[in-house]
Amino acid sequence: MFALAGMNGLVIGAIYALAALGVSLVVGIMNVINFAHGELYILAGYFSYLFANAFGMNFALAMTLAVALVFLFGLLIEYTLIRPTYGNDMYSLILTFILSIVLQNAYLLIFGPYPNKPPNWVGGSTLILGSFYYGNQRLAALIAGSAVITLVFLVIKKTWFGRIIRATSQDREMAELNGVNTKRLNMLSFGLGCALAAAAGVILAPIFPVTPTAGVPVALTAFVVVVLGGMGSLWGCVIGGLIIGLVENFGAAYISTAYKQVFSFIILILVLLSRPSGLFGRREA
Amino acid sequence: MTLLEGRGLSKRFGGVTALDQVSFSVEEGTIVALIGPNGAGKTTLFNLVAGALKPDAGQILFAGEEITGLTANVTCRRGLARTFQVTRPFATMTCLENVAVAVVNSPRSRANGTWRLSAHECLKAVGLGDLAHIEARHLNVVQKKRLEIARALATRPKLLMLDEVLGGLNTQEIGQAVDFIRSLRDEHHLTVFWIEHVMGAIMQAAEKIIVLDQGRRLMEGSPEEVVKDSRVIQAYLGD
Repeated sequence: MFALAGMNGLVIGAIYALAALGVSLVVGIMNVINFAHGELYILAGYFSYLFANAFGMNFALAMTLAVALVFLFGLLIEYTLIRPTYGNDMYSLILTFILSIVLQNAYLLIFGPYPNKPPNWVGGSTLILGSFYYGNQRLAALIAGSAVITLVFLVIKKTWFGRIIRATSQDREMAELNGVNTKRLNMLSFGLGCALAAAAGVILAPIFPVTPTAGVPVALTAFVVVVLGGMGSLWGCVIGGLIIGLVENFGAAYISTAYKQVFSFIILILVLLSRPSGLFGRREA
Repeated sequence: MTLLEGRGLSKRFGGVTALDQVSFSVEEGTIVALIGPNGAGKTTLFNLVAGALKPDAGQILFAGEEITGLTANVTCRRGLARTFQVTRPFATMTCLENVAVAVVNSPRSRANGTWRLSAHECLKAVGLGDLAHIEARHLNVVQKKRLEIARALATRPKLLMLDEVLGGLNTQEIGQAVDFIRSLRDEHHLTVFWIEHVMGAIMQAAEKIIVLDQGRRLMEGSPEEVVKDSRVIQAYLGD
């Protein structure tokens, strides 16, 4: 049971990390908290379900298309809802909160309250460490999640686009003076943040089917992960995501499944008591 | 030929008039200094030109085109670069990456791979070639100022605006810095517009001095004319 809970923790932890990276990117660049993050995660799940089940697309194509569409939707949200609120973080907070409610109800209207599930990518299971059988779909999700996280790291650390992102999140005005078009960057990074939520959604949807409100706990956990890991730290998102994923699953396995959410908040409180700026957070100068 | 021209620039902050109908010009290829007592409006003038602030009245022309009210990233791409009084490197990025941000955003330099080369060139030009892979937060004050200039150079400017680059330097370093700024001008075909408090350096380097006092242009002239002018002496020392 220990190893099984551990594996479950890793899978869900990788997804939390992915969702948290999206939140962190948007907060870092724009200082905007996107309350509709979870609904975009769900939207991608619905898209992949729709494309694969109703239109009969290949699952990989359906996922790619779903992420791309959510990315475009993110650009649209930034342009119509966030851009007019520049300079007042509170407005964007309220607007995205409203957006999350609107989207939840739209899903309810269109797809109904039932869980919808895109097809599995792979079937069967694998014997892990000679002790238990683990679903191949979950292993595939872990691999896919890790691959996307690695890709995000490579982009941020190694490409000119990543350097611009890091520079702008450190000193927006200076970046602008060095020729960075921060308006366009805002739009792009908001879209990318949504796309990361979408990536998490399409990877996890075959395991945890999507319902209109299933995004709420994921987004909540993503916010917890960002604070736990430390604002603006990429490693914080990854380590924080894994910690929360593991703690939730061990807690559920050994104590009670009913308190799954409580464990992550207890960890958050304990960490913040000893390190107020999170595990990898830079102290405010 | 005039590279930068301000016509009747005014800027108010609430009830305070920071700049009042200031006109000036900076000729191409020269080093022009902007001096004045504290609060005279020097940095405000820079902010207007570089696009950080919008003027309440007046026009700014750069290379014959109006740039009044354009945002900083646009003026940067037109060829206008500035440094700050207090250096602001991207602290957790290496020197090379700091400069690279400016390089990739400058026009005609996004071709793959070339940025590393030209970012290196900019670092070498300011004598930081050996520190390319050091994170900017580990640099000392002089090095940070050099990095700031390297970043400005990386945007391939026509006009380099320096805001008190000599503050915090000792006499020997000031001498080196003045030679350095002159050589920059000569080697990179720059025009330099320079706010400075260190009069000795200005006297050596500047071809023209613009004096601001309480938001107004007090006078403009060669260094010799400026130091002899009674109004300037009065503004600095009082009656």
